[in-house]
Amino acid sequence: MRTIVPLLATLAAAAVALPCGPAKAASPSKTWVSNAGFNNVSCGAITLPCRTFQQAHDNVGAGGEVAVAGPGDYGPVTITKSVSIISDQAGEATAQTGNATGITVQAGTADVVQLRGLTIDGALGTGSTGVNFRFGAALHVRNCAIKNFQGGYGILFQALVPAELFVSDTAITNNTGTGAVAIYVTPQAAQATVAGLLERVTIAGNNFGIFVTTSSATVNMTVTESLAAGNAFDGIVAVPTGTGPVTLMVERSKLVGNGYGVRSFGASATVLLSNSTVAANTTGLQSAAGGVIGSYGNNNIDRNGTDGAPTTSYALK
Amino acid sequence: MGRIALTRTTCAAVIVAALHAAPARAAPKVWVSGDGVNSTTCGVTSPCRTLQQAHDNVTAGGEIGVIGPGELGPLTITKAISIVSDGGGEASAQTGSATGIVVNALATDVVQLRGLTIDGTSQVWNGIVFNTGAALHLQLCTIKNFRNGGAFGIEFQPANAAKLVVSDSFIINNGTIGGAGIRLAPVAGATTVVLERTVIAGNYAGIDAVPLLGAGAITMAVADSTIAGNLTDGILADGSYVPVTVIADRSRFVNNGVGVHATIFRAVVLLSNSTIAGNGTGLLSDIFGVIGSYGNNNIDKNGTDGAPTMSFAQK
Repeated sequence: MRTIVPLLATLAAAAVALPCGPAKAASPSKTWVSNAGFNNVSCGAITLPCRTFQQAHDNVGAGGEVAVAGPGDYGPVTITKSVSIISDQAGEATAQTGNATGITVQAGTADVVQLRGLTIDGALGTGSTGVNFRFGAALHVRNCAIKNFQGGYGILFQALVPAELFVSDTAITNNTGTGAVAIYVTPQAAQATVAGLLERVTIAGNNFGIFVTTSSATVNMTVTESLAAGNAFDGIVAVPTGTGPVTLMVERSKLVGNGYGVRSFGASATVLLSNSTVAANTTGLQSAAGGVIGSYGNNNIDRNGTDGAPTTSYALK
Repeated sequence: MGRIALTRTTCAAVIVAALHAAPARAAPKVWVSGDGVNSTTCGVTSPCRTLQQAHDNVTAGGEIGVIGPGELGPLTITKAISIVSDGGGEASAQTGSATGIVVNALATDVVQLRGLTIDGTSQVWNGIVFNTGAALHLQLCTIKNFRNGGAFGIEFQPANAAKLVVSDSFIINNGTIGGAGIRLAPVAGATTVVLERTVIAGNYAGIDAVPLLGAGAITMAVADSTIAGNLTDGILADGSYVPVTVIADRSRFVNNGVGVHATIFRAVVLLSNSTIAGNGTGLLSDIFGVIGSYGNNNIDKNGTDGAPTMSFAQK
């Protein structure tokens, strides 16, 4: 029988063989986690994996990698340095969280954080968040599933410094309840310019899909080959509250069956649509207070309750 | 045995915890494996053997994780849960003589399946039957070999408003005399369906959108998908009772009996950037069913190509 935690004898033997002691002088560049692992300040070798992401993170050197050696629930983690957390066909690696935040990024301003192959599940806990990015140079999310954060956020990108957000081949689903958003981009300082790329992202069955708001920071994001479907409110909404310009380039994407397909609020909001489908939403396109919805003339905008119309035409060149 | 979550503890505390078994209770995360053992407390410190036992032990809103490969049996889902197999080896719900997965959840419950293989082994009825629930999300799943006459890969027949979202999945070789890859036959409430990057091939019919009298409308988006080699219709939109709207974009309807079939005036299929080729009949509209085109589709090399009934302009 496969055991999820080792038997007592194994555990005791491990404790005897490897008593708690000071960490090794030099942090390794790679630490492993396993469901059969044990946490201590020197865990992380493939022969001595850690039990949690947090301990593996604490033990790995900056710039290093936390790798998943087998299926397991490795708990929430706060990332404070450049680190990758990678599960590459080694089995489901979850950061299940209940009412807490799954992964918090509170790193240095030059640090790059990469997450790959993780399932981050809120278990319908209330007010919780999947990934909360505050400090760092960039966040890469690939091949992940982020789901079930009720009244919270799948990805909350609230950078206080200039930062990049890359999300690819990822499903963000069922983040429901009042205020919940699949991807919420809200830079918190004027200098916190955001550059974002979402590709092959499925955003389905959330309260809001992609929500971008800023007071004075510049946000530039491209959304490509992605889908926002069945979200209660917007598939995509740009709501700059001040002078910070928000520009979203949406191409080869589908906005289907949402409350609103695309909304653009305010004079500093621009959403450009190319080769995209906006259909079967209650309202397809809506702009207000000078928000721009631009079209390259190659979009399918039909069969919405109210289709709406682009405010500006752009020419292909 | 110790508890599964040993977060940031000391060695001493680990040993103390190991000496005191935690009381059994329903957990938000339960594991299942082909070499697990079923009990009313399995899944936390050691895996369950079947999806059904794991489902029964997990709390509503929780997740079943597949920790090792296995044939994990048929399952009836009665609450909001996820089942996730992410590279942990093939996790099948092979079914013997039953339906693979039945969803009888509350009208507010969302069910999410990721990375499962649901295999009918050529003998039995449907892969997934969705009766009640708010939504079913499938990612990276394979549903195949439900070959008992009119079997369906997915039979989506909600008695309430519901959503079906299928991404990156394969639905193949279902149905022999009747049956389909996906049958959308809602009983009541509006139905929203999304297929993206999904292959529906070699079934009796590909997708049958056939809402019953008293159901709400069906609205369906098909994107970046392939509907191929199905014996009868690749996709059938049947507007007998309520509106059925299909928006197909960047998809392929090839080598079916009929590529796209819209019947009765409430049925509307819009085609964009898609290919309809190699079918016995490419486009078939009868009793005023609407097949709309954005003028950017490839409709050639069918036995009979047929033609769109309406033009739509891109904006």
